[in-house]
Amino acid sequence: MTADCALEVRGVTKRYRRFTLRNVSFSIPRGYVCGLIGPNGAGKTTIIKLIMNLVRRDAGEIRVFGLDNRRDEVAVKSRIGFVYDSPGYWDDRTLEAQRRVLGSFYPAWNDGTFDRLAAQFELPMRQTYKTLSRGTKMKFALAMALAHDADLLILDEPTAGLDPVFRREFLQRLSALLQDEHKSVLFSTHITSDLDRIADYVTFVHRGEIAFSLPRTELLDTWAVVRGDEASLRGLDPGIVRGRRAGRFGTEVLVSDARAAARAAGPSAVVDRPSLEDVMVLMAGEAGHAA
Amino acid sequence: MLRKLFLKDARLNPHLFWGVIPFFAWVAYALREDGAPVGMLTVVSGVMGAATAATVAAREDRFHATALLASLPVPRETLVLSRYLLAAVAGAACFLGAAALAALLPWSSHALGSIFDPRTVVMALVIAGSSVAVMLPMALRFGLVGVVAFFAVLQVAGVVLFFIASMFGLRQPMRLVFGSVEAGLRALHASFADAGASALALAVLAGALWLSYRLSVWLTTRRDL
Repeated sequence: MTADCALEVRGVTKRYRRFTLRNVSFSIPRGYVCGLIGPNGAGKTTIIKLIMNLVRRDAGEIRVFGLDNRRDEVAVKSRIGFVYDSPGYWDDRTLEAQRRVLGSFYPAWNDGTFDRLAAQFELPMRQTYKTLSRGTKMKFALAMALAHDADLLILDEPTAGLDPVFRREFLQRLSALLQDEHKSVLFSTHITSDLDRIADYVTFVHRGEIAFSLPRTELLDTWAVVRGDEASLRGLDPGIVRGRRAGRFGTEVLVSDARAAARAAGPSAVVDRPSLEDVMVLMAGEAGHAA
Repeated sequence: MLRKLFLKDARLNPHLFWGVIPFFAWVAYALREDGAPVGMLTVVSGVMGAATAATVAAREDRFHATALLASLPVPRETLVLSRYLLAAVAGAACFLGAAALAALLPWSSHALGSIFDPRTVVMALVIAGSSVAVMLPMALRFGLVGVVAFFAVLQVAGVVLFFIASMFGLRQPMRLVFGSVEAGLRALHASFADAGASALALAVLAGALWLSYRLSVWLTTRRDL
């Protein structure tokens, strides 16, 4: 465990009756954005809830800025800005009332920052929470998370349900926030295009396990999608194949070594740089076939 | 921290506190009658106030605000403690509110001494305290479902008692059941004339509340949100 890490998750396991999160390990260095991707039901929200100590882990260790998330719960949560996938505010109270009450729990709460964000996001502070659209609710949750000068932002599917204009604005805001190098972000999403713009690291979770956790540039530079017919793909080393999908017009194979794949694939195969969506779709497909 | 949690409850759940206004209007009306049972009115007021803590917990659970609360920099044990203190404060406030009506309303003929009869105060503490001791762990662990389950269990217990009484061929079993409960409460009230019995009851109540609090902490810290 290093002091330069904003978040370290080591060997964390959580068992439910019908789902188990197994031996999850990854870390985020200070000042970096980590995208947590995976299909619905993969375990992303469970990982986030474990970090927030909303669910109890059965094994493993979670440290935030070197502090244990359970033993030093208050200190840890003071430094985290948290946006839930379905924020649970008081439906029949105004945003103003909720901001006044909930902000008081954070030692570093800044009314000026909140007011500025509320103005930028055009939040209707005198309206009750239940009258807001999902996008506006998310904006309010985000403003609440940002107004106490959190060192680590944990965002669980924050862009789901937002219109493209606000989504872009939201991602630009995150990028601006990260110009202060002490801010770190864990950003869970299944909209992988969000991460194309901002993620430094990508952690892929599938069926309760971490499939990989890598710097995004390393992932996109060294991995590849090879497209071709079965014959042209036969020479690929099974050791580098991470995913496969057969379609009507050929087969797509995700490999973790683009150069080796280029050498081994037949002349009719095409080797492309993958997108995060390719990685997610093909890996999820492979795991599906394996099962 | 507890002060902030109190303010949170007051500002984000204010209509639960306004909800007592119609009840106090009824108390004021009931006090018009000669021989109105002022003890019963103050005790029921205290119980109703104390139950507010469970109602607030259930309401926040319905809005899924429980997870939001648990993500604030507040230990879950402190959240639980604030519920018990809210029950105590709201219960005392409602008891005193009903007592104030009995003492101050021009049409009420109750003397201050009869309103603050020590037996009635102990009775209020025992009934409100034991209700909180049973209800709060269920509300904190299961939310609205827990509160509904609490009353459902009471209903089912009543039905079971009815059938048991019927099986033994007793006539008018409902009267027997309610009569027994009433007689039990009267006996309990009368026994509080003895200082020793009152002290014992309060000691048992304190133990029950402590156990209930520890159970609530145990349940809440293990609750996956």
